[in-house]
Amino acid sequence: MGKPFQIDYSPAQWGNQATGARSAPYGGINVQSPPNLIDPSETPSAINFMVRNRELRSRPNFRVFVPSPDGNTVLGVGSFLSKNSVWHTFCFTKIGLYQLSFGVSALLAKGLNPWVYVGGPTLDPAYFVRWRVFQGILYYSSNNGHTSAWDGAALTPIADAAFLGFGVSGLPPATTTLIGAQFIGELDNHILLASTSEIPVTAGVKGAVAYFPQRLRWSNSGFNPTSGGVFGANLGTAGATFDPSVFVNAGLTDFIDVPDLLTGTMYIGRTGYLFRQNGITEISPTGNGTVPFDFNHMWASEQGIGNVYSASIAQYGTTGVFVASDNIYKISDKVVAIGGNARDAIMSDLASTSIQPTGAITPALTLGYNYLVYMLFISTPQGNTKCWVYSLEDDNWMPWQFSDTIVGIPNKCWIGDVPVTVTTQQIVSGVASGGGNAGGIPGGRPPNIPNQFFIPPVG
Amino acid sequence: MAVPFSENGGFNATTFFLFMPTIASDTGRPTISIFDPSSFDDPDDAASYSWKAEDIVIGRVPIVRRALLVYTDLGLATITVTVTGTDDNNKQISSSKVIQIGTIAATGLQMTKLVDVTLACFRPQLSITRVAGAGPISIVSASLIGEYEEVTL
Repeated sequence: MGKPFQIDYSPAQWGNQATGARSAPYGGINVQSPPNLIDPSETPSAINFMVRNRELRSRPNFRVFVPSPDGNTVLGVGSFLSKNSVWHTFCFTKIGLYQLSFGVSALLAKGLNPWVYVGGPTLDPAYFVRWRVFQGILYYSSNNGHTSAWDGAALTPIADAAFLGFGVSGLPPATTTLIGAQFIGELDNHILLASTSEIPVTAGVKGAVAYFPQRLRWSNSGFNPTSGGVFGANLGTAGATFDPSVFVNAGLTDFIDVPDLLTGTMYIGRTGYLFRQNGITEISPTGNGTVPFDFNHMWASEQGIGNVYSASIAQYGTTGVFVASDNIYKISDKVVAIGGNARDAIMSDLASTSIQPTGAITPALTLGYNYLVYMLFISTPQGNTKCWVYSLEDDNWMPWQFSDTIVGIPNKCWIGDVPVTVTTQQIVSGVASGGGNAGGIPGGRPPNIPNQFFIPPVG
Repeated sequence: MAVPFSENGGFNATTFFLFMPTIASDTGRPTISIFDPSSFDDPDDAASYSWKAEDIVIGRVPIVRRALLVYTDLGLATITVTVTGTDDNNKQISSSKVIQIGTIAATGLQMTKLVDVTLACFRPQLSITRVAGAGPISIVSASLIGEYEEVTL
């Protein structure tokens, strides 16, 4: 008879006597030590488990919720609250902007398309559609030379809400430059467009899109979405402009003094951060009307900490996360490396893919199920998606995997009903896709069909 | 609150999900997918978790006799409990047992499962695996139980 042993793996064993904590969270993945030298709270190998609330649980069901509205790849999703305090959940395809109807589950069950086409312009599928909401107005751009706007009430979006020169009734002048961007932001009451795409227009004739991945443009201060009673007119006409020859408080700068291009933005407090592949540029408002911003390249080295993947950067309140060449970083009051003992595995996955990874911070997986995590989605060469989940509360990483390929930036989106399960088969077989669609495209409402007023239930 | 008639669509929100634009692997068609925490039994994707490999006493060959799992009953689930290690011929060896945990009622109670899985090996490592659709798992704690010889090898 040998000497007995019992090894317990329990958060109760990992408590900290110094702090009096009776339990501690799981440590998550550790691939940076041999498996017999890691902490008992860690794992050398795991997939599709979550370590939330001191327990080890199989991750939530991953399932198809709705089909693409028109059979094309979804380039972006989100929700916004309009000025009338009405929620709109929207998505983009290359055809344009769609919004989700009330009662999505019932519509799917009846085989109807839950998406309703709102309007164009057509979007560039080579880019994710970036969007921001300012005072109840959704602004979006796919870096296609257009920044469009929709307030949730108008029948169609305004195709061009950012342009040079004086607009007329919310429309650009006949000779102008239309402006789109990869990143939309706001600082000190200026709207900022970073990594711009611009279309010169001469006497109504449009030229080719020109890209300026090193350029930042800003509107004049004090834009007013309701000025003139024409939504969207705040940018090009009545309220504000991007044209410094119209208003000296607007302007642009080209960062030609750094070796890299703009790959993301983040706005925390009164400071903006422009991310480059190898650096970060700080934007500080000056209070000077003619020179409203001061730019400080925190470093401009050939190599350095920056945001490598333009869609992996994410922000939740005062916390942001981005992926650099050497590690994953969290930025709040300071910049902290968070890759930890999962870093090498994450970097290995990133190196294995040719599809742009995406990231998101979500406070919860659904209403009432809080899980404040940063998720980094990496498509694998096998067509699966590896999702690295970082708990911002417990400081651990766990890998999830699902068999579908992620192709856009995830976002928290509201719906107007309690969902019921609709199987993938129902959706893909067309049972739950839109009727009357063209060319067998599932769920498609052709964009030439007029939009319909939606009469919501009272209550 | 009623949605104003002047609004073009929209709704009074009731809940939210993380919408993820995806291409469905089985059809190749674009969709939007979600993680749905109303179920922890994913029908399409398996799950596994390995704990630390244990030296017990460096240089000794311990014998694992059983594993002990304390779990929260989320419903019936079938899992494979495995102990893996290497023998003194430098070959990987393992011993597994398929078990069922939980109840149909999904009581939410903490329950205990003793699993008789025996293996003599260097650095035994406990792991659990769940095939796709095999049920939800919520482990509170796990234990590796056995013995080792006190004499020098």
